[in-house]
Amino acid sequence: MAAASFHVSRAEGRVALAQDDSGTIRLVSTAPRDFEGLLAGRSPLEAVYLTQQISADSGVSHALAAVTAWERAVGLNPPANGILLRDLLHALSLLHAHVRHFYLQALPDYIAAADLAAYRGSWPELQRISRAVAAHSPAWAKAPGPHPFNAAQVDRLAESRLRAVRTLGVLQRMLALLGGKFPVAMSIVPGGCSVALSDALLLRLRRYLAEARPFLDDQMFEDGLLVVQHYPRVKTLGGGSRGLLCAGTLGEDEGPTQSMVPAGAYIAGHLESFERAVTESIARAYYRFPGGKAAPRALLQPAADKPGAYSWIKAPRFRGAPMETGALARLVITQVTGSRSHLGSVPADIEAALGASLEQGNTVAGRMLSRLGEARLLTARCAALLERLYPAQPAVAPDAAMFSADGVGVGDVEAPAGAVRHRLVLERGQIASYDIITPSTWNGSPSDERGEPGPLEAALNAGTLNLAEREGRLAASRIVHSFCFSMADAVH
Amino acid sequence: MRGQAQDRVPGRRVNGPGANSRGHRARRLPHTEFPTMPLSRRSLLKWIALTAGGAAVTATARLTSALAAQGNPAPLLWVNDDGADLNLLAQLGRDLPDFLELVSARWDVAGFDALQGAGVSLPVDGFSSAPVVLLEAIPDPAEADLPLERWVEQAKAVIFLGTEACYGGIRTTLEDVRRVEALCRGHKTPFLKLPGVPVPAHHIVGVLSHLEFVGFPALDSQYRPELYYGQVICEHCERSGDLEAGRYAEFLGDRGCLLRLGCKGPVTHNSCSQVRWNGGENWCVGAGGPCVGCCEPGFPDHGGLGLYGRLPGDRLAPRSPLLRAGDRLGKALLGVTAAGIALHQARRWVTRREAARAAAAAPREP
Repeated sequence: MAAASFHVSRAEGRVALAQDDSGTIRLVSTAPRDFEGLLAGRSPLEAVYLTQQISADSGVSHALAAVTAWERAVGLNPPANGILLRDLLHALSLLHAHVRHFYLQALPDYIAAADLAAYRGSWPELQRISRAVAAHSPAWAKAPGPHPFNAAQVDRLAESRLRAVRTLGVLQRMLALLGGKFPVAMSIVPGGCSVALSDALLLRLRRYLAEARPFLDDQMFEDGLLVVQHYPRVKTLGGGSRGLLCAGTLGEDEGPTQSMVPAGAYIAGHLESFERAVTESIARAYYRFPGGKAAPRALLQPAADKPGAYSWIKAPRFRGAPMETGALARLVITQVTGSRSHLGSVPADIEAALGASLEQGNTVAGRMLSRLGEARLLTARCAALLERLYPAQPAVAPDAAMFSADGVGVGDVEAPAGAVRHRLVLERGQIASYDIITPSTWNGSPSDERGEPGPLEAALNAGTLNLAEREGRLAASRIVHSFCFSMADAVH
Repeated sequence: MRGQAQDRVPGRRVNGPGANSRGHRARRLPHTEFPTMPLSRRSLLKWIALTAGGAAVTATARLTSALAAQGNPAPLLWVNDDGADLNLLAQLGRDLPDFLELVSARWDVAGFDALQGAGVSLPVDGFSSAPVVLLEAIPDPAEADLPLERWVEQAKAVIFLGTEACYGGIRTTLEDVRRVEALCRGHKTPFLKLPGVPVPAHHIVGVLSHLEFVGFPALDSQYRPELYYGQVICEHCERSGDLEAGRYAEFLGDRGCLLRLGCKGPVTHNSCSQVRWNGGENWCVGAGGPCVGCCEPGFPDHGGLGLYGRLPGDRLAPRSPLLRAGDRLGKALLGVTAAGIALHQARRWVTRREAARAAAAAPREP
């Protein structure tokens, strides 16, 4: 097989794949951005803001991880309203990422934007677009591709995409109401949430949610099913990884029964607790410790000339094993921990479409449908959260001492693409060291000492893809998008 | 410029009779004010510069539907290599069936995420007319498929999008930015900067409309359009009344002016207090977040103050007439800051030198 390379479009950062003569596909990473080094010596309040720039989709999740790590380090508990407001912000940001990811990033792998422009339905906005495209074909409309959908289905997907963009607008309005602006939220502060809670605000949020809900509840999952039905190959494409990991999120502090997504690691049919058993391997990454092997992580130095290394992404491992993280892991771990009452029919619907159990769902189809199914759960969660906010109660518990405290804190949160961990060491209120593990680092990690690749590389090499052919490139693009992979996130 | 704009729209005065004690929000133009095509230059300018929130959305809708029907689309190149696509993402917030229409029909957009096919790279030549290049990230000169010089050579204008691309930051260095600026000057391509984390969506659509219909906008000393960056954000801040009355927030999440929590409002030039983000819904101060000065060249360090470091001179603030001359005050404060930092550095230097001298003079242990 000849060597080939391929630049995956519609993924954040510059995602490129390279295939060598033996057929092995590897991720080509970009140079690290070193947020961890940037944060040393700053106030943790700056970490809450600056880490949101790591990745657009997971900005709110990073802010929450940063603020949680800080609050744990100094032992501060926000009031109920503060936690609920943050949860609402978080759930909305996850929803936004799911909608945007499916319609604007994943769907063009299955039907090109050029084909969607061949709209023949009755919506005037879409008719205007297709008329304009026919009149003076722009560059993007010159590349139609083969697809298995009939005219009615193309029209339905085009209408869904328009509804998706409208829904994104509504979700962004809600996120801006709660966070000031989106994608960088300004209201996540130590001790709670700084937004002024009022009945008027809650009414507006309820109205917006009611506007977005029909699409989020019904249409999205149906569109996912349509794609999976017409591309049966995605039910087996992109398998290969075994372990699933979830950092737990949304209402965790209220006890395991209240939490929407519990934390855990699921390996070979066993659920284990996700605590401190996380290490990062740099065997094949361009880093080295000065001097010996055992040194604090803060001393890691970049080493672009390290022999045997091929990636700037570090390789996080759970008890030495690579783990897949994301919406699928969240669903599976929620299901096996027994807290499944709020899951409703979502797992059954996904299993019916896959023809396999959710635990064997680590394929392109399984990941896609998990994300769309989770969107349904998240809308229900948002509606429930809105009912539990009381404007008369405070949303912030200020504590001036935390700006000069010492301590060590870990914040675990789920981002759209999976588990995020922030760990900080505080000295007299300043950051002494800061570690970030992102979902794309978990999923896109290179091989470790034992030669085990990360989930994304394992999935790419599970079949026999040939990047020199169009079919192979499309399959690779589908696999990369199924992980919501972001290079910007991975080399943070 | 600012004065003229205020004269054009009656009732938009910041201070005066009938002033709300809690400060002013941007005046929302009634929807009927925006005419259908053909547009008069005056109403177009009004839309570009002044409208906020719902009116801007309606205006965009009318503008796009009117424009989609005529003419060849203007080529637009959106370069978003290796970037957190903050600005791209923020665009979707303008209730954007209209934006979808804008990017698919009115503009011939290359590089816009949602329209990009698998494995399609950006075009290098063969534009139907001179393109506008939007640089959200500065591509590495080593990347063969991102020939920045070829694009700059052909471009009608280059727009730097976002603080990262405008002034350097985490993944772009200031030298990279200078290199592209020099490239633009070398090829006589005009360029302008739209800083912000992210850039308010209205700025991008507005500047592109301005380029197409009115011409190149007037810029300030930082190459930012005066249209949007000609005022400090305190000018239309809903908490400016608190500032004038001396009511300061004591902690994050408190009511009152955020100046003492490190708000960079008095030195930050932008119209985000008016235009706001995501369909005009809200902005940082509206959610209780102090302004971090994200569209200023000093971001995020602000000359040693840090994102949430308190500006020196906040004691001046209650004397409100000073704030009304917001721009001058901003510059004065920047001067004070710079002087303070210089003084601090000098003092540190002197202390260090004295310590060294003392150490040298001290009798050594045998």
